Amino acid sequence: MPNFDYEAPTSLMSALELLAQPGENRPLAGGTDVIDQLKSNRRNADLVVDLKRIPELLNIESNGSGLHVGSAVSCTEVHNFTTEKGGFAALAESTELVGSVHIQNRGSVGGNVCNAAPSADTIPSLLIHEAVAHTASASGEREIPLIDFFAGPGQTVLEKGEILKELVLPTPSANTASAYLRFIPRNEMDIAVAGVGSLIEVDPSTNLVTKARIALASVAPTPVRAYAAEEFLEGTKIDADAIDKTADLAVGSAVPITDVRGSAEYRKELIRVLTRRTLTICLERLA
Amino acid sequence: MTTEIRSNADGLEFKQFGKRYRKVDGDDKVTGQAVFGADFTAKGSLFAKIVRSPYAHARIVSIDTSEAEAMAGVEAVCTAADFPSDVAGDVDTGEVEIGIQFLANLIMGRRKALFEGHPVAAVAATDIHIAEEAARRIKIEWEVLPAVTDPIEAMAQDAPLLHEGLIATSLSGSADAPSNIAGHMEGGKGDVEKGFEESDVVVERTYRTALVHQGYLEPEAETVHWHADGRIEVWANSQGSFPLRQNMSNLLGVDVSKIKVMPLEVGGAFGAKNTPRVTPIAAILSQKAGKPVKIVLTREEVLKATGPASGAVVTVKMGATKDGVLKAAQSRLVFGAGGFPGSPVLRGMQTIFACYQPENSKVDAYDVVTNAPRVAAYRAPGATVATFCGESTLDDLAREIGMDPIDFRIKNASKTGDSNVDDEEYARIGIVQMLETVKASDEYNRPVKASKNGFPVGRGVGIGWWPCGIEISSARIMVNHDGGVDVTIGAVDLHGVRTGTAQVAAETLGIEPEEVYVHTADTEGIPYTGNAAGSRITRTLSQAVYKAGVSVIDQMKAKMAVRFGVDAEFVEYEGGNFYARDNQDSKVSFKEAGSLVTKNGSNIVATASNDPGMRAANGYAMAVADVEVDPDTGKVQLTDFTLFQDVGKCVNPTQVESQMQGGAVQGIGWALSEEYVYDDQGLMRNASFLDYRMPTALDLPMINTVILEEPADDGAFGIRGVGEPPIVPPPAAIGNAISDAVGVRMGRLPMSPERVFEAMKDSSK
Ligand SMILES: Cc1cc2nc3c(=O)[nH]c(=O)nc-3n(C[C@H](O)[C@H](O)[C@H](O)COP(=O)(O)OP(=O)(O)OC[C@H]3O[C@@H](n4cnc5c(N)ncnc54)[C@H](O)[C@@H]3O)c2cc1C
Repeated sequence: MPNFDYEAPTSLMSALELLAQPGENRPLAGGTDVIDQLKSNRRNADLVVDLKRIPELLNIESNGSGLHVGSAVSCTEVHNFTTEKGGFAALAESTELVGSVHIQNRGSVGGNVCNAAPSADTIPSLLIHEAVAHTASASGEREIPLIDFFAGPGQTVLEKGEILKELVLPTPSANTASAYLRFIPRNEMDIAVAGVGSLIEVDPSTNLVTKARIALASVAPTPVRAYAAEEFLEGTKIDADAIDKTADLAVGSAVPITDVRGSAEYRKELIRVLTRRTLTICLERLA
Repeated sequence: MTTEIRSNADGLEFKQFGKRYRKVDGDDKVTGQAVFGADFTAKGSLFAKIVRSPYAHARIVSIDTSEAEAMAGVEAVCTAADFPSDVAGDVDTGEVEIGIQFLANLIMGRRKALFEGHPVAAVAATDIHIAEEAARRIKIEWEVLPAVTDPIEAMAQDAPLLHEGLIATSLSGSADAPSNIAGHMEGGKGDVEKGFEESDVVVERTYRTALVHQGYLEPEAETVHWHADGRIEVWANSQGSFPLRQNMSNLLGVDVSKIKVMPLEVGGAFGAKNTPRVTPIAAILSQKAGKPVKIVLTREEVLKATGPASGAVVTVKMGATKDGVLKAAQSRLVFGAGGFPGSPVLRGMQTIFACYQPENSKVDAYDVVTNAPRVAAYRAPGATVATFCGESTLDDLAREIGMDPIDFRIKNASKTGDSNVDDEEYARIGIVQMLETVKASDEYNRPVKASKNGFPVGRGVGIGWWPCGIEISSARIMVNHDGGVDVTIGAVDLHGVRTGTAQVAAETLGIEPEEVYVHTADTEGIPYTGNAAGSRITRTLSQAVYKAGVSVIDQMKAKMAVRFGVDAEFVEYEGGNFYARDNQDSKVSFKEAGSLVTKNGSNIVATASNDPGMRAANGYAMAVADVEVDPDTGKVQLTDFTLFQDVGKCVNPTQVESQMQGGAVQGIGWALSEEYVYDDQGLMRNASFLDYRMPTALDLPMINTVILEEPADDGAFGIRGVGEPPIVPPPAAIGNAISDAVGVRMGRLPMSPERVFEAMKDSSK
């Protein structure tokens, strides 16, 4: 690992100035991805900028505009906050799946998003909850719907010197339920062979689905939404048959590869199983 | 408490045995005080990085080290050209053997790289970052050759040839042309064809298993200082200080007496650290630089380029009559050895049917070289794979003839005095007793717990055999001025040897373990002791300690005789006290006596080794596994697991239990998730603990243990080997449990989710 400089600014402004300097400059939140990448020479850095002393990035709150998650807030804090406040079950579940207790204490949801692994566990939950990425750079701020944030495996649309400031998730209605499940060969410390987040909003008077969001992990170069499945489910009365059909349609949105973690065929099968199971859990949660 | 001791056949009673005496090295280990290989840095040490082949099979056209050598901070660079080329003598690499020339070429590739990660050069520098950068600047021109990692493909006539001069040897002589088949061994008795004809049911299956790694916590980490006067000091991370010294002597052409090996704490080895890998490289770099050189491997290097266990392809055919007589058993075992000959296929051959007495048997074993890392011993090498294949077939056969699988096993079980396929006659064994204990156990008879997910559940059993090894162990007992006792041993402590030895010495001397201080010596401190391998240390060392202890008591009697004013033959030692036979009031405790006799300048010292003719005490273990299988994904969850093992005589239940649990867990990983994945270039695709999946605590139920005691024939205390047998039966038991749950017979290891899913899909077609 070649030498690099390290800075830990205490204001957003100075962080953005540091990151705007010439050279390969890398933000660091929990470091659970980036430190390993640097040590194993998969990524280089001239300067590493630690974001964990910047108050704005460590803030988590829910207010009239929804749930605000500062980009450096740890998975553990997000899990505890969402578990206590309710409304974001899939996010509460996925933040508790990342790595182990130690990794969750260190690793941030922002880091999980910016690392942009197709397998990242918190991203499907954020996508189904319609998260918007608020970014900042020395030249200004942007708001990017999370679905448009990813450019490929390990790649985001962030520009040089631009960081994720916070994720904002609208508050779901009371008739909404969400769930996230991933499939791993072990029971922890593993990487999703496939993952599915599902969210449904059901009109209690008609039992019709008024909103459906399904997002998939590890089956495409970026996390993806299963639009065809969502469209089918919206306006449908949800029952076991509808769930099976939705699961079949979700498979159609998966374009997995075969690698050491699983064959493309198996991953598609897992999408079917996990879609079915997450929707079933959502139904149980609404009951 | 999970351990129960359920029998005590001969009523052998020892005061200090069967007690949960506290691990003497435990405090230092849990508080981080213990010094392991990577913790030790010699004064003025350099740090080395090994340059490895990025290809699975390639000829070295040229190596240019000049740019690396010119870097500031680089103090030595070596390639195979710096190592002695004509090495001679035997090497001792434990239970999995290798010829010395092959070992030399394995340690530093000459002309050709035979697997990804094969060392071809090394650099020592003032810090590891400089060494890494210099390693990158060594320019190697390669001629890449086609690679073969599958042992069956490697046997084909048109397969890429690893060694131009490798001629297979077998009972019928030598082959006439070179191939990747290094050897063909045969065993068995009677006429299997006749046996199959006489059978009512014959089952034949072929199995494939992947390479797996021991997964020891501590990567190889060693320091060597080759002094200007020719002495070599080694701070070792090895299973045997003395074999390492001998191997270094033969590989480097240096007298044994000039080499001193100092063992540090070893963070796991399981057979792999019997083979020297980095020590000779550190030695050559140290010789060139004139300074100590430290090498610490990374996990990726450990996985790609140390010694995993063989992947294998095994065919088993068994036939029985309706009333359960095993008429014939036949097997063809093909084991991949990696880049150089010497897989443990012979051990697979010896263990596959060892628990049974088929009327007719035939086993063919092939040792095949492949472009994979050269395999090493891994806890009962060869037996886990062989047992999975044998016990899976046997289970199907029992089902087909409609007999309870344990009754079928009991009916055909091996007994004391029977012999194995290699004609080895069994010393005292208790296979039938073990099978009967399991058959009567609650673990086997209670209903399998229903799955809370509503998934299918099942139970399976498997029994595994491991002969265990024998080698020399030495011990010295010395009485201190305060009457306390020092015991010095040559065995590297991989598994609580110091603790068990304190108990054995206390038992022998009639004192308490707290009064015994056990130390592991370097090679100058004690006579020869072999590798801590083959489950043999407690068995052999306890005899050495016993012999030394008897001598200590005799010496003390002689000294006390002078004090008592009687002849030595009139001094008694009983209940921890010396006394003159005719004067009960003369009682002096061991401690007092020790202090009295040593204070006036006398020494009480005795050194002993075990009897070289001592026989190995066979070991065997049986597993009962409960599983639930996710019918949609194929994921198998182990829900209950109990291991039964005959340990002969249990010295320390806590330590025996942890060996049983640790071995069982390694077997469970082998069964369900661990495997080397190669691409078609022969490159390993999963060289990290993320994708090489060892089980975590959350993947396992409590591993229950039941200790059985059928004492072994000889040795001081009836002790059998404990460390290796527990890894042998788990894959077999789990495969049989899966078959019970979902009705599919898994022919592959690991039985990973996708494989089970595929098998279920195929069987429902
Ligand atoms: C043992 C282990 C187990 C793991 N298990 C899982 C798992 O089960 N599921 C899973 O999804 N992941 C897992 N991970 C990966 C990792 O822990 C998560 O992705 C984690 O959420 C990353 O957060 P971090 O704060 O540590 O990110 P960091 O490593 O600090 O950063 C990750 C990347 O994002 C960039 N970055 C960080 N913050 C910002 C920002 N505000 N703006 C712009 N760029 C930024 C960094 O430069 C870097 O490229 C595991 C990692 C380890 C080591």
